[in-house]
Amino acid sequence: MAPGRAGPGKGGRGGAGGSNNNNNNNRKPQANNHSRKARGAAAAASASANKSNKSVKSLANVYSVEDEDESKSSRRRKQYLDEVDNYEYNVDEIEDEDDEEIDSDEAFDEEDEEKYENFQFYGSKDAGKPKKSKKTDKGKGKKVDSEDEDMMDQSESEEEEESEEEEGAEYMDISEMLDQPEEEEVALPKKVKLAGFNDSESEDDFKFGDDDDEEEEDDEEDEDDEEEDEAEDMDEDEEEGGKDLTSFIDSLETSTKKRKQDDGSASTTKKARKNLRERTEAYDESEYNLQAHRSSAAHSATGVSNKKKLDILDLVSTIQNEAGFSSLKKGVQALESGPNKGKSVETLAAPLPKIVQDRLNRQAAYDESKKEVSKWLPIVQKNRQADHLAFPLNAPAPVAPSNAALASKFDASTEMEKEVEKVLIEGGMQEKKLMEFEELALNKMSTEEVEKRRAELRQMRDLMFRDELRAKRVSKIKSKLYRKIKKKERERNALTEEEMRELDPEQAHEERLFAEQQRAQERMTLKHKNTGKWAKDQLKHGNFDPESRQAITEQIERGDRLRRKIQGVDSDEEQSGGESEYSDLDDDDVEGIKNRAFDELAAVEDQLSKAEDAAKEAKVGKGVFAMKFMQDAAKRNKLQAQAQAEEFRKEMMDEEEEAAKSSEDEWQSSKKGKKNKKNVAEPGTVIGAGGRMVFGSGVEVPESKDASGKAKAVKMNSGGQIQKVALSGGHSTKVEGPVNVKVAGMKSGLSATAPEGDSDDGSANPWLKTEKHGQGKIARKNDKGMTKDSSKVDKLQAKIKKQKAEAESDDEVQIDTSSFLTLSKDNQKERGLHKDESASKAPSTKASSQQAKNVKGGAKEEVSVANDDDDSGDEAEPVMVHAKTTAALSQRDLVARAFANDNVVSEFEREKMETAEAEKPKDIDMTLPGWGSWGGKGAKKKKNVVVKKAQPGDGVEISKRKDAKLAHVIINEKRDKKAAAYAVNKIPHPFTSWAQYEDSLRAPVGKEWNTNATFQQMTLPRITTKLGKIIDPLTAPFK
Amino acid sequence: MANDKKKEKKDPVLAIVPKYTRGDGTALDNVNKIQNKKLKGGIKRREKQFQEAAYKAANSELLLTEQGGFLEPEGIEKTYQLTQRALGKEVDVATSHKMFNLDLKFGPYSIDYTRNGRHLLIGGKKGHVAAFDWQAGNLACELQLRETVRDVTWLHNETMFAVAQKKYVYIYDKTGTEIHCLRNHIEVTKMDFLPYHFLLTTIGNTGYLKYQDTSTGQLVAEHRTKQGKCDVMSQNPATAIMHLGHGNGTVTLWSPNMTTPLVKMQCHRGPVTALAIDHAGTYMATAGLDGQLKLWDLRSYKPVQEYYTPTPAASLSISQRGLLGVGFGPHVSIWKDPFRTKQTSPYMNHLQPGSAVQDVRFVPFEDVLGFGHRNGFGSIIVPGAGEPNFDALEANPFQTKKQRQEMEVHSLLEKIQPEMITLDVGMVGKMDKAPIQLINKEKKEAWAAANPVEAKELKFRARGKNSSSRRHLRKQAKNVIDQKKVDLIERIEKDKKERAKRRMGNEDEPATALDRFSGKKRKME
Repeated sequence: MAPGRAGPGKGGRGGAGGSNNNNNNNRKPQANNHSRKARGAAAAASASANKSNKSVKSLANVYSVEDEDESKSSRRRKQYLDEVDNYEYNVDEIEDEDDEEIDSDEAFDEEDEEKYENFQFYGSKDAGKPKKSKKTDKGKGKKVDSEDEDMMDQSESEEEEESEEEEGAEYMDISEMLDQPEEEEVALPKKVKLAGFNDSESEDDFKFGDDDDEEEEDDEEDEDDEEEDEAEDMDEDEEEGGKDLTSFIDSLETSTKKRKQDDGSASTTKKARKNLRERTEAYDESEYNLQAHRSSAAHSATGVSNKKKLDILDLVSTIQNEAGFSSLKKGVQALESGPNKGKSVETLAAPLPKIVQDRLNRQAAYDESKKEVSKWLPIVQKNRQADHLAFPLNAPAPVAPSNAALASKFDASTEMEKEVEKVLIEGGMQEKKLMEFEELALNKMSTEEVEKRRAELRQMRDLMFRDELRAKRVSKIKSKLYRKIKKKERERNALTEEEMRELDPEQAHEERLFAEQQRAQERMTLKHKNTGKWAKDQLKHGNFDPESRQAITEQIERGDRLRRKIQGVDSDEEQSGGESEYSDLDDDDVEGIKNRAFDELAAVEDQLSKAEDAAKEAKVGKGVFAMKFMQDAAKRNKLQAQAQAEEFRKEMMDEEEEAAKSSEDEWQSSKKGKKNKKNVAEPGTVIGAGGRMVFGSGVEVPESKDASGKAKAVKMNSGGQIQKVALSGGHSTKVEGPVNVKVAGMKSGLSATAPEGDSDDGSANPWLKTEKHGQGKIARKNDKGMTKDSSKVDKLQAKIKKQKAEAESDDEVQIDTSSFLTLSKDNQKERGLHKDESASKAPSTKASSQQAKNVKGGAKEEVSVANDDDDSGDEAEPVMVHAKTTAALSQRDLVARAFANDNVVSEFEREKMETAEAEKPKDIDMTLPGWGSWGGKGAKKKKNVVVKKAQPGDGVEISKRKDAKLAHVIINEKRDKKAAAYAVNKIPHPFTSWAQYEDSLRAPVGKEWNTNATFQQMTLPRITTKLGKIIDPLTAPFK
Repeated sequence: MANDKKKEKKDPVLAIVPKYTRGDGTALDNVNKIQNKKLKGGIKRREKQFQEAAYKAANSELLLTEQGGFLEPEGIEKTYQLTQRALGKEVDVATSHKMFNLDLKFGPYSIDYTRNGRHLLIGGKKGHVAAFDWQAGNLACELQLRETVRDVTWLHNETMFAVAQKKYVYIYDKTGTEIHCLRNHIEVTKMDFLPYHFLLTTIGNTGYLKYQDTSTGQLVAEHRTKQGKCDVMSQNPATAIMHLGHGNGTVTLWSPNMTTPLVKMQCHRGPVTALAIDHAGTYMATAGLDGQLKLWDLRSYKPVQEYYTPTPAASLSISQRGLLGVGFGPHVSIWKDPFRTKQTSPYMNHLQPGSAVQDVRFVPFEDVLGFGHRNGFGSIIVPGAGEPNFDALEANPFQTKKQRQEMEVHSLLEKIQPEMITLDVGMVGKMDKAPIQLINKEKKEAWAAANPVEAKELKFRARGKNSSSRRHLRKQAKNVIDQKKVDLIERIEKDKKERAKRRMGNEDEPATALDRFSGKKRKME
């Protein structure tokens, strides 16, 4: 403040003043360090307005300068500060050399010494400071010391060390002092000065010790020295008073003269001199002329406040010996001593700039409020994380009335209640009475018993309570480490696999399977999801990038496709009768094993037949598999497999037969009661005509018995396998013979007719079949012994054979239709299924065919007749399984009847191809023919052909169609715009990936799918309030 | 893992839980890598909630007190040999009452049961329609419509039903009063009702599949199948997709959203004669004139099993517990578990002698199968057909009138929009997998459609119609008459007359024959 203002005022005078200013500016921090003093000065200056601004400025300026080189200026400063009031010294024009000339040491020559013999030097009281003594003149130093000591005796004996400590009080005191009543103005001027000087010194110490580096200490020392010197001057003035004043003025004048010699302008100095004269009025040194002192003090205060050394203690010291001021003394002591001495200094510090102060205030306030708010964090966090908040919070749960409470309050009001109560009273069943009775019973027991019982009960309760507490505590432990350790412990205690195997192999096996399954599932589910690094990255950033979006979509789709595929495979497995069916069977169950074996066989054969089907389909089309050698090879393979399967089955059956025979007898006897083998053939009907023919041909009872036994054996197997048995043409021919032989010969029969049999295997779709199929049929018909028809058929087949492979199934059917019609009719009749129609037609059918029918056919007729008789009784079930023998012919018939000219499959294929072609992405050539190009000979092709590229979403590649691998299916790839309105385009907040989001949707929330409790819990709004209840502000538990 | 296993053994409920879990979310796999704490917490909490929900649902199975069972043959007995007569002797009286045959004259009957299985609707080809509570034997109404009846179906409850008659579809209430005539539906052969969408779907000789909202009366969609006449239709109860069977052996799947079939399958080599879809929507059974009976997995569109029928099946039905009923010729045969395993023999058989079976339906929540045939209606007992436990909030066989009314209101409030009918059931709310360009394009189009640029109307400003006096008149309030206005009107009139006079010449002069060439119009009196 002051330095800033001082600058411009003196700038014109140049020289030292300018340099001082500069220095001052440079060392602003230091100036700040001294600001306490300066501030004090400023305050004093403002208080007394009679002094010129200029002098104040210069004072402040000088004071704040502390460079090493300015020992003189600082000296000058000190002079002012020490109330010498020789203001001429602060004139800035003073040259350095002049300054040096008026160095106090030099100025204080021997004359002076003589003069100021009695002068006491301030600051020299510190005897321990060697530098001071050193720097003062040798002779003088001693003097000073002694004098100092005297002073110590005089003044400080009472003050003790206070003088050093009471820096804080001084400024206050000055102002106070000024207002003090007369009686208090008792301090000795000497002491006042002394204290003041000490104060300044100690204050300097304080400052530097506080803030400055060690470098500054030199400065400080210099200053101290200077201060001392100046103090000397000043004190001389004051002490000698008017007596020595003249000589002192002379000496000063000499010095000023010296200065004048160098300095041109003397106006200011003159003026200062004038002041000096005024100021050098002497006053008696006594406690009573404080008034005079005060005026001087006030005067000096306008200049330099901190050199005003008056102090309350100085004032009070005079009354030390007097009684009646003890309380005052105490009060003063309380004022000066205490820990906040230093602070009291700060109270006077000028307020910080408002901005800074506000900032500090805010910071402090923020810290405070932060502390306060942080207390709320836990409860706020808890509430935020809570699934549900019911306001008012922490409302006490409505207390469910206890039984006792209800009982005690109960008052019989209704008639029935009254009645009941009456009855109870009559029966002596009142509550009170019961209680009394109980008590009596207790009384009857000996005290020891009662004690014992109570102790027991107490122990029990105690244990239970403890256990409960323990369980609670353990369950509440959140330490992961603890859980980990516990888990480890459990695992350690758990059985290893080997141990398990020893103990319970079955269990071990199960466990292992389970583990493996889990692993497999894990592996399955991890793949083809957006868990890759790239995908994740893309999901995070590249959502708006169309390409990456496309890629991700594809990825998801692939995952879907795979999953779909897996499902499809699953269902296939299911259809092929997987192991799951038998998983619940015991392993040691022989029957089960056999069943399984047979099923496996059946599965193998199924596969074979399917393969053949496929091969045939392929045959219709083109490809490697349609070639003859490939088919042959496949056939060979299949034959081998079949042979092996057959062999295996035979073995199994041999075993089984022996077992079956034993049970057969009683079964047969029970069966005999009924009419005939028709009943016997329950699944045999399913099995096919082969089985039936056995009974038909060999009507003899023993044979039928055997046959039925065999049938039973067959029956025990599952359908697929039986089908196979029935299929083989050779088999049906062999059936005529004894059963054992037949079973044995089955294989040979099979192998013999294998080529035809093969084709039969795949006869699920008879209209699909080519010549091969026909052959199979012929064979079968031959077996049936329809000689006449068979010859016809033979011819037909030959005809068909002549046709090339290109002849499609439909053609074949067409041809067959006419020729087979009669056959099929017969067949229908045979099976006796359509009694209504066939019954009337039966007599009208060709006699030849009737005759041609073998015994079996006759038997069937019988059956059908029987059925007609009692239709509520046993009736042959309409068989709907593809039992190739009977079904094939009728199906042929049906097919022939149904689609004479249809070609649905190829039509469908064509449609599919067209659709795929139409829906595939296409680039469009936008060039207009003839536009911008030349025609005629030698015309060049246009270069800049405009092609509109297919955009993503424009279509679907044929290979990527959902139905790419399903020949019989066309799946629409068009976009369902209406449904798309219900889909989501952006990942909703706060989810970061689609998977997360879609997972959150996967379980339904509605009450149709959930229990009521779950539904309510899931749909409960996060916050519920009770109507009409006051919601109090949150109360924290810490309060 | 071992611990889990043990736990599983300890708690029998855990074994059932997988039935109720909706797939295990993948979200939990990477949950710990999620930075966002709120999200992480949310996911964890949600997964826990799902698990709990599944567990509780599984736990609540103990409330399903009824258990279903099938016929259990002993020794050499065969279930398909058991006749209804024999069965009737074994069952209790109440059950044996459910076994009956109605001899009716009006020729092959199509039938329908309400969703709770309580009410039956039969429609004879020759115009006989009857609705009744078949268990109590209360007849609601009986009509003789005197024209061909091709199909009948109940609407959302037993108070209304639709009848496909000779030309149109009519809706009657339970007293037999005709409420509506749907003239949009012409020559309908087959009808069905989607209860959650309130859609009546019809298909007929014209080959148009139509969806009519019976709550609002709107015709929601109308699709041309381009396959000609069709009389085979069935809904997928799980997805509300309509399946149509066509003459060329294909089965098409439709939703009201798409004008083209969602899926087209070549199922048979001859016309499809019957079609049925199981309760969960996973399997479909089709029968064709080629004599085949094929079972399909609707998830993979692959055939699962193939059987044949001695005569082409006329009708198929799949019961709530997965029994397949096949009506062919005079027979009804029932197959147990025909989808997963290849069966060699049927579960049960029934013969309706001398009468071809027309329509076969299993009764919901009952072990009964009803079938309409040429000479009336038959009802037979099929043990194990119906779901033993019913959800009273879904379909309550014992519902009171009040409950019915309440249910009606609820189902109307919870009606699903027809746009939600898609192949993917969980489509709503899922990600739209279409490329972003396409989506943006669609958005733009939608916006353009919502904000059409109105073509500015061309102003035809006839000359002389806009004089200052006229404009002034126009601007005046129409209903206020002041002197100025009157004067103005008078002046205009006067001017007009003068102009006419000037144009026409003197009116007093008689018109001459040459006036017609003058080009001026002159009033001829």
